[in-house]
Amino acid sequence: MSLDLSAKLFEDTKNSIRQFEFSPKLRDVGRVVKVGDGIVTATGLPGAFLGEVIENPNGFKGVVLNLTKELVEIIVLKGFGTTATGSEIFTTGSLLEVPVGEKLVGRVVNPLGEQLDGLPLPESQIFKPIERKAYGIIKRSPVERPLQTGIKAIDSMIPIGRGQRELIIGDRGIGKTAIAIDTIINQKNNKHGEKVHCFYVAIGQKTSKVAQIVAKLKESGALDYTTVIIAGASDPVSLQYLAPYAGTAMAEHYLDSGKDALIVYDDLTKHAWAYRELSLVLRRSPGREAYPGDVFYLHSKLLERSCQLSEEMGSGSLTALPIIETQSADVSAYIPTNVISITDGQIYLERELFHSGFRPAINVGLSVSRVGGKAQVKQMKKLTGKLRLELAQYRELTAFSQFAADLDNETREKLSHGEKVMEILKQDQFKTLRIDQQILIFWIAVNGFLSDIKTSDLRSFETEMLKSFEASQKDLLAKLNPQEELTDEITVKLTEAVSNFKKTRNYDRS
Amino acid sequence: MGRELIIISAVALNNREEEKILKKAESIFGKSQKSQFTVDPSIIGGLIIKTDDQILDLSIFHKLQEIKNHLGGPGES
Repeated sequence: MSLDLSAKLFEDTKNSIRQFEFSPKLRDVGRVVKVGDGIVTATGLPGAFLGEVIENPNGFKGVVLNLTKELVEIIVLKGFGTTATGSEIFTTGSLLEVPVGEKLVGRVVNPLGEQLDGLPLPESQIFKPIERKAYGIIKRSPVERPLQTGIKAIDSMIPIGRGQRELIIGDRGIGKTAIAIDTIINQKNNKHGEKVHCFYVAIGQKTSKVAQIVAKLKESGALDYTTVIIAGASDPVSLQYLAPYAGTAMAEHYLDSGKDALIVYDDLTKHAWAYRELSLVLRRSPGREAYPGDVFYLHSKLLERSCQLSEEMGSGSLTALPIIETQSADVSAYIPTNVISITDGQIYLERELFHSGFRPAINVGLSVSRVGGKAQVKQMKKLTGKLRLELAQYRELTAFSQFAADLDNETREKLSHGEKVMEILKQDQFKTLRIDQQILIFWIAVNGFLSDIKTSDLRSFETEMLKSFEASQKDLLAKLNPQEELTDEITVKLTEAVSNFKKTRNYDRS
Repeated sequence: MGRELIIISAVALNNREEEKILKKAESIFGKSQKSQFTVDPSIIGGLIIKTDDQILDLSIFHKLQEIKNHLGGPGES
């Protein structure tokens, strides 16, 4: 470190010390009687309350999770091994808090707010309690503003609004995390004034997987507005249990300040496992599938904190994308049904679709967005209103496709059109599309411009056309305003531009 | 309900000092049955007043720890 830097650091440290106010409190003392399984049991601590932080001078930090007549049971967050039986521990008088604020943007932290990316943390930070009651009804307003995921299948037929909780559910390895990450990356396309601050909470994930995700976020510039909170598979269950609440506390900073935020919980299945482990060790009665009786409350109190606030409260929003992993597509299992009943809809991913090459493997028929309509941009709604129905009809018709030779022309055309729409809904990972680009593509699909293009050429047609429009039709693209009707003038120009493109690139033969 | 009060100081105290401190301590903790004064240089300075389940740590050692925590403490993995 250069001399200047170390001199500055010295000055900063001196100032920090000067600002520090020593306010000694009367603290309760406890004596440790049992240590093990991530739990410390102590006598004493007469005034300890549930959720209180307990510490000792050797770096121990824990939270009170059980109070009985004689004993206090504390889950260990930090400093495993610093409490021996017979040693003393002390109350702090405060609930567990995490640092929140702008200084956390672009950082990778653990649920205690400690840095994991090797860079120092700012000294003065705002701290907020991890747990908080969700806003009441009066302080909220309906979800009416769209959150663009950049994924065609979602923004067209299962649109998400700011303040909504939309579940991403499916088996392992078929693209749940990919959808969440693409949504985060797509937030860089928001116009100024519509910024969304993103939070990615990794619960019980492989460290290697999270490292890849962070690298991808960094590469695509998403770390300029994203914070990553990690409690990995090898981290203590206590931290895995707290991670989503810690992330929510950090996101609420934006919600409370009239700004918009997005939080991804990846995933709540592992979160429920961690809570189950904690509860069993705390000897709480196991219920169905050995989960504790309050496993529903575990998730409902978390997800209720995501909302759209009223104008008086600043109109801020917190959108949640929880992820649940199913076993063999069983959505009627305990945890999946719990979370489905809490969220405002789900994006349902299917293994069959994934393996047949339809990625994102979203089953549009089974997926739902219970806020839909109002939160979708007007133009998109107009174009895709019938799309869902058409796709449903197409799916019914495919049963007959084996008898293709015996079908009338109308049915055969419906099949062909449906097949092309399914093809156009495919999208590569990390290739999110802006709303104007999506409007262009759907306008083309809905207005019959795809009928004379081979299905197998559709993906390349889309890619090249988008490239060409980016290069030479920027003003036309800009006119595809999501909130306004497409005027006849624009429609004529579009027809011309698309037809020309098809001709020049030889796409007009079936 | 008398409790035992333990008062720890860094240096030995004289009788007058002990009396004064005990009086103040009892005003916080309530009348005590028994009191004990101990000297422990490791607290560097100041006082620690304890009963069997409560503690008021006014020592320099504790103050230094609080400062260390305030500065962010050592980065843990």
